[in-house]
Amino acid sequence: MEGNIIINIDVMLAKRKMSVTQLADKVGITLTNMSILKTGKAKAIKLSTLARLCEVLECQPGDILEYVTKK
Amino acid sequence: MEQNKLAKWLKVIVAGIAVCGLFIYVFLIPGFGKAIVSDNPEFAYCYQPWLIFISSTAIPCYAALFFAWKIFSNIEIDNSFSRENARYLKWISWLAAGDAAYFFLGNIVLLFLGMNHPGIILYSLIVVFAGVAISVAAATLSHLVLKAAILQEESDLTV
Repeated sequence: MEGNIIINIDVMLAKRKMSVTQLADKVGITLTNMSILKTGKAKAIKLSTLARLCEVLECQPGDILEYVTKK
Repeated sequence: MEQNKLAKWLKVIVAGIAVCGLFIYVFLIPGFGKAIVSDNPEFAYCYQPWLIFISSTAIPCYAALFFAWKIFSNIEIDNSFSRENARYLKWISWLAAGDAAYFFLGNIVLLFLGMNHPGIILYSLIVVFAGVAISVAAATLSHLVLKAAILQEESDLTV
Protein backbone atom coordinates (compact mmCIF):
# COMPACT_ATOMS: atom_id res chain seq x y z
CA MET A 1 0.00 0.00 0.00
CA GLU A 2 1.50 3.33 -1.07
CA GLY A 3 1.44 6.36 1.17
CA ASN A 4 2.24 10.03 1.10
CA ILE A 5 4.20 12.41 3.26
CA ILE A 6 2.20 15.53 4.02
CA ILE A 7 3.58 18.72 5.46
CA ASN A 8 1.49 20.30 8.22
CA ILE A 9 2.74 23.80 8.86
CA ASP A 10 -0.63 25.38 9.73
CA VAL A 11 -0.56 24.17 13.35
CA MET A 12 3.00 25.42 13.92
CA LEU A 13 2.20 28.70 12.14
CA ALA A 14 -0.72 29.26 14.52
CA LYS A 15 1.45 28.37 17.55
CA ARG A 16 4.18 30.79 16.51
CA LYS A 17 1.61 33.41 15.43
CA MET A 18 3.23 33.77 12.02
CA SER A 19 1.75 34.27 8.57
CA VAL A 20 2.65 32.16 5.53
CA THR A 21 4.28 35.20 3.93
CA GLN A 22 6.46 35.84 6.99
CA LEU A 23 7.44 32.17 7.15
CA ALA A 24 8.38 32.10 3.43
CA ASP A 25 10.43 35.26 3.93
CA LYS A 26 12.30 33.89 6.97
CA VAL A 27 12.90 30.46 5.43
CA GLY A 28 14.10 32.08 2.20
CA ILE A 29 11.72 30.47 -0.28
CA THR A 30 9.21 32.10 -2.60
CA LEU A 31 5.52 32.28 -1.80
CA THR A 32 4.90 30.02 -4.81
CA ASN A 33 7.15 27.33 -3.35
CA MET A 34 5.52 27.76 0.04
CA SER A 35 2.14 27.26 -1.61
CA ILE A 36 3.48 24.11 -3.35
CA LEU A 37 4.57 22.85 0.07
CA LYS A 38 1.28 23.67 1.77
CA THR A 39 -0.95 22.18 -0.92
CA GLY A 40 0.95 18.89 -1.01
CA LYS A 41 2.13 19.31 -4.60
CA ALA A 42 5.82 19.17 -3.67
CA LYS A 43 7.63 16.09 -4.94
CA ALA A 44 10.72 16.63 -2.80
CA ILE A 45 11.98 18.89 -0.07
CA LYS A 46 15.63 19.71 0.39
CA LEU A 47 17.06 18.89 3.81
CA SER A 48 18.35 22.47 3.99
CA THR A 49 14.78 23.79 3.49
CA LEU A 50 13.45 21.36 6.14
CA ALA A 51 16.21 22.48 8.53
CA ARG A 52 15.35 26.16 7.98
CA LEU A 53 11.63 25.43 8.48
CA CYS A 54 12.38 23.70 11.80
CA GLU A 55 14.69 26.56 12.83
CA VAL A 56 12.09 29.25 12.10
CA LEU A 57 9.13 27.31 13.55
CA GLU A 58 11.25 26.09 16.49
CA CYS A 59 10.13 22.49 16.07
CA GLN A 60 11.27 19.02 15.06
CA PRO A 61 10.78 17.52 11.56
CA GLY A 62 8.27 15.08 13.04
CA ASP A 63 6.11 18.02 14.11
CA ILE A 64 5.52 19.10 10.54
CA LEU A 65 5.93 15.84 8.58
CA GLU A 66 3.23 13.18 8.62
CA TYR A 67 2.98 9.88 6.77
CA VAL A 68 -0.53 8.94 5.55
CA THR A 69 -1.45 5.74 3.77
CA LYS A 70 -3.43 5.84 0.52
CA LYS A 71 -6.79 4.12 0.91
CA MET B 1 24.11 34.43 -26.84
CA GLU B 2 20.90 34.82 -24.81
CA GLN B 3 18.27 32.13 -25.04
CA ASN B 4 15.73 34.65 -26.33
CA LYS B 5 18.05 35.81 -29.13
CA LEU B 6 18.95 32.22 -30.00
CA ALA B 7 15.29 31.28 -30.30
CA LYS B 8 14.61 34.31 -32.52
CA TRP B 9 17.52 33.36 -34.80
CA LEU B 10 16.24 29.79 -34.98
CA LYS B 11 12.84 31.11 -36.07
CA VAL B 12 14.52 33.26 -38.72
CA ILE B 13 16.31 30.15 -40.01
CA VAL B 14 13.03 28.20 -40.16
CA ALA B 15 11.42 31.03 -42.10
CA GLY B 16 14.45 31.14 -44.41
CA ILE B 17 14.28 27.40 -45.05
CA ALA B 18 10.56 27.72 -45.81
CA VAL B 19 11.23 30.49 -48.35
CA CYS B 20 14.13 28.58 -49.94
CA GLY B 21 11.96 25.46 -50.11
CA LEU B 22 9.22 27.43 -51.81
CA PHE B 23 11.72 28.75 -54.36
CA ILE B 24 13.04 25.21 -55.01
CA TYR B 25 9.61 23.62 -55.36
CA VAL B 26 7.97 26.42 -57.36
CA PHE B 27 10.84 27.49 -59.65
CA LEU B 28 13.92 25.28 -59.54
CA ILE B 29 12.38 21.81 -59.81
CA PRO B 30 9.81 22.68 -62.52
CA GLY B 31 12.56 24.58 -64.38
CA PHE B 32 14.89 21.60 -64.10
CA GLY B 33 12.10 19.30 -65.32
CA LYS B 34 11.31 21.57 -68.29
CA ALA B 35 15.00 21.67 -69.22
CA ILE B 36 15.15 17.86 -69.24
CA VAL B 37 11.96 17.68 -71.37
CA SER B 38 13.24 20.24 -73.87
CA ASP B 39 16.48 18.25 -74.27
CA ASN B 40 14.66 14.89 -74.33
CA PRO B 41 11.10 15.36 -75.70
CA GLU B 42 10.47 11.61 -75.35
CA PHE B 43 10.24 12.18 -71.56
CA ALA B 44 7.47 14.79 -71.84
CA TYR B 45 4.89 12.30 -70.53
CA CYS B 46 6.92 11.93 -67.30
CA TYR B 47 7.00 15.65 -66.47
CA GLN B 48 3.57 16.10 -64.80
CA PRO B 49 3.57 12.85 -62.72
CA TRP B 50 7.10 13.59 -61.44
CA LEU B 51 6.21 17.21 -60.68
CA ILE B 52 3.12 16.16 -58.72
CA PHE B 53 5.08 13.45 -56.89
CA ILE B 54 7.96 15.73 -55.89
CA SER B 55 5.60 18.57 -54.94
CA SER B 56 3.68 16.19 -52.66
CA THR B 57 6.89 15.36 -50.78
CA ALA B 58 6.96 19.02 -49.68
CA ILE B 59 3.89 18.61 -47.46
CA PRO B 60 5.60 16.61 -44.65
CA CYS B 61 8.63 18.93 -44.91
CA TYR B 62 6.51 22.03 -44.26
CA ALA B 63 4.59 20.25 -41.51
CA ALA B 64 7.95 19.48 -39.85
CA LEU B 65 8.97 23.15 -40.23
CA PHE B 66 5.71 24.16 -38.52
CA PHE B 67 6.51 21.88 -35.55
CA ALA B 68 10.08 23.24 -35.47
CA TRP B 69 8.60 26.77 -35.26
CA LYS B 70 6.44 25.72 -32.31
CA ILE B 71 9.49 24.18 -30.57
CA PHE B 72 11.48 27.40 -31.01
CA SER B 73 8.51 29.43 -29.73
CA ASN B 74 8.60 27.31 -26.57
CA ILE B 75 12.35 27.84 -26.23
CA GLU B 76 11.73 31.60 -26.51
CA ILE B 77 9.46 31.54 -23.43
CA ASP B 78 11.97 29.44 -21.46
CA ASN B 79 9.99 26.25 -21.88
CA SER B 80 12.71 24.26 -23.65
CA PHE B 81 12.45 21.02 -21.71
CA SER B 82 8.77 20.22 -21.85
CA ARG B 83 6.62 17.23 -22.75
CA GLU B 84 5.11 19.40 -25.47
CA ASN B 85 8.52 19.85 -27.18
CA ALA B 86 9.19 16.12 -26.85
CA ARG B 87 5.85 15.47 -28.62
CA TYR B 88 6.66 17.92 -31.41
CA LEU B 89 10.07 16.27 -31.95
CA LYS B 90 8.34 12.88 -32.12
CA TRP B 91 6.04 14.31 -34.81
CA ILE B 92 9.06 15.60 -36.77
CA SER B 93 10.62 12.13 -36.52
CA TRP B 94 7.49 10.46 -37.88
CA LEU B 95 7.13 13.04 -40.66
CA ALA B 96 10.75 12.57 -41.77
CA ALA B 97 10.44 8.77 -41.74
CA GLY B 98 7.10 8.92 -43.57
CA ASP B 99 8.43 11.30 -46.19
CA ALA B 100 11.50 9.11 -46.78
CA ALA B 101 9.34 5.99 -47.13
CA TYR B 102 6.89 7.82 -49.43
CA PHE B 103 9.74 9.11 -51.60
CA PHE B 104 11.25 5.62 -51.92
CA LEU B 105 7.91 3.92 -52.66
CA GLY B 106 6.98 6.66 -55.12
CA ASN B 107 10.21 6.04 -56.99
CA ILE B 108 9.46 2.30 -57.17
CA VAL B 109 5.91 2.95 -58.41
CA LEU B 110 7.19 5.36 -61.08
CA LEU B 111 9.72 2.71 -62.12
CA PHE B 112 6.91 0.19 -62.63
CA LEU B 113 5.00 2.83 -64.61
CA GLY B 114 7.98 3.21 -66.90
CA MET B 115 8.74 6.76 -65.77
CA ASN B 116 11.89 6.02 -63.83
CA HIS B 117 15.31 4.45 -64.14
CA PRO B 118 17.20 2.22 -61.66
CA GLY B 119 20.04 4.73 -61.74
CA ILE B 120 17.66 7.47 -60.54
CA ILE B 121 16.47 5.19 -57.74
CA LEU B 122 20.07 4.73 -56.60
CA TYR B 123 20.49 8.52 -56.40
CA SER B 124 17.15 8.84 -54.61
CA LEU B 125 18.49 6.53 -51.88
CA ILE B 126 20.68 9.46 -50.80
CA VAL B 127 17.55 11.52 -50.14
CA VAL B 128 15.93 8.54 -48.38
CA PHE B 129 19.00 8.10 -46.19
CA ALA B 130 18.94 11.80 -45.27
CA GLY B 131 15.27 11.48 -44.30
CA VAL B 132 15.94 8.42 -42.15
CA ALA B 133 18.91 10.15 -40.50
CA ILE B 134 16.75 13.19 -39.63
CA SER B 135 14.04 10.85 -38.32
CA VAL B 136 16.45 9.00 -36.01
CA ALA B 137 18.03 12.24 -34.79
CA ALA B 138 14.61 13.74 -34.04
CA ALA B 139 13.46 10.56 -32.24
CA THR B 140 16.62 10.60 -30.10
CA LEU B 141 16.17 14.29 -29.30
CA SER B 142 12.52 13.64 -28.42
CA HIS B 143 13.52 10.91 -25.97
CA LEU B 144 16.21 13.09 -24.36
CA VAL B 145 13.92 16.14 -24.15
CA LEU B 146 11.24 14.00 -22.48
CA LYS B 147 13.75 12.78 -19.88
CA ALA B 148 14.89 16.36 -19.32
CA ALA B 149 11.26 17.50 -19.01
CA ILE B 150 10.63 14.90 -16.30
CA LEU B 151 13.75 16.08 -14.45
CA GLN B 152 12.63 19.71 -14.87
CA GLU B 153 9.18 18.91 -13.45
CA GLU B 154 10.74 17.23 -10.43
CA SER B 155 13.14 20.13 -9.97
CA ASP B 156 10.28 22.66 -10.21
CA LEU B 157 8.40 20.76 -7.50
CA THR B 158 11.41 20.46 -5.22
CA VAL B 159 11.25 23.05 -2.48
